[in-house]
Amino acid sequence: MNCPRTDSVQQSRVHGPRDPELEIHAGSCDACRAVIELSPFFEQLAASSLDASIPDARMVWLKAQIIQSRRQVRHVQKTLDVLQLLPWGGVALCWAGLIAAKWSQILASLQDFSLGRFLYLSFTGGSALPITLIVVVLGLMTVTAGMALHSILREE
Amino acid sequence: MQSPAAGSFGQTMHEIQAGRVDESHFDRVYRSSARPLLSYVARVSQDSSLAEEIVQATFFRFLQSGGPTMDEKQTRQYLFRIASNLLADHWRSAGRERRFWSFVRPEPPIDRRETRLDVRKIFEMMKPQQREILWLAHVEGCTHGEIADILELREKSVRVLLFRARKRLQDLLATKGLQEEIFR
Repeated sequence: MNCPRTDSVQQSRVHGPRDPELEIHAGSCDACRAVIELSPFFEQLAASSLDASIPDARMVWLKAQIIQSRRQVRHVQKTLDVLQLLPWGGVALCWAGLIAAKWSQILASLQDFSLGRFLYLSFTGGSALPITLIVVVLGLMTVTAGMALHSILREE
Repeated sequence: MQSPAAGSFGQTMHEIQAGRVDESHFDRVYRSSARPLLSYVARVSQDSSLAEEIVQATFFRFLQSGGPTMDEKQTRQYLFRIASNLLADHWRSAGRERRFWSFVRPEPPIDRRETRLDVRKIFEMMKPQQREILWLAHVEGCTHGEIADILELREKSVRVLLFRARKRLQDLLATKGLQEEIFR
């Protein structure tokens, strides 16, 4: 089916010089003869007109530069996106720290919690929780809301 | 493979791979490789506008790749490999699209009585992979090993596929009665 010399026959046909010994061999070898017989076909095919045209090298170069710049912009954007996640992480850590540190007080106030008592304490100015804790909670809530608003506006 | 016109081609390739090629160097590389690449893709894909797109995409990818240093021959093979992969990607997505539309609108039957045949028409009757292999072997003059590298096949497979493709082409030429006309 195949002949190890077809590659050599084909190489000599395309690149030259033509080797008479190989040409003689091709006369008695079906696989190699096919290479030689098909050569004119491919010569015609390669010489036939081509509808396509290549763009100017400068245009391709400039397009490649633009693509490269866009890629760099995307890369920077991705880094910025990651950096913007850091404040969210910080706020989440603050919340977690606060809850962990004041867990016993929060738990105690939740166990005693009733709406009537809460409203009474609110009106009389008293509180079951220390004032510093309430300030910290309010501060964290403000920061969280501010960041959420910033994220929404940035998306828009 | 044909030799490019540029003298310092090898050095240019190294500079491109290192990402510090300037426009004049790129120009030399482009001028030596773009035309053969376009012929290959256009003949294999049978679509001129697609060929133009693929050739551009090949050079974009080539510029963006930070591959190892290559000599002139390897670079040329590398460009052909990128183009072949892009073609394969295109055929895969086109095949999916065709399968989808065939449910909606069946393809019209092919007219087998086509009489106006020339070398291009005959070549178009071959399977895409056969067209790739035959073009690389007979026009680009690639060895079996080089074809295997470009199309990511085994060398043994290339030998067999090439043999079958030649046989099919000969049969087609004989069937259409063009053998004598072409070989005259």
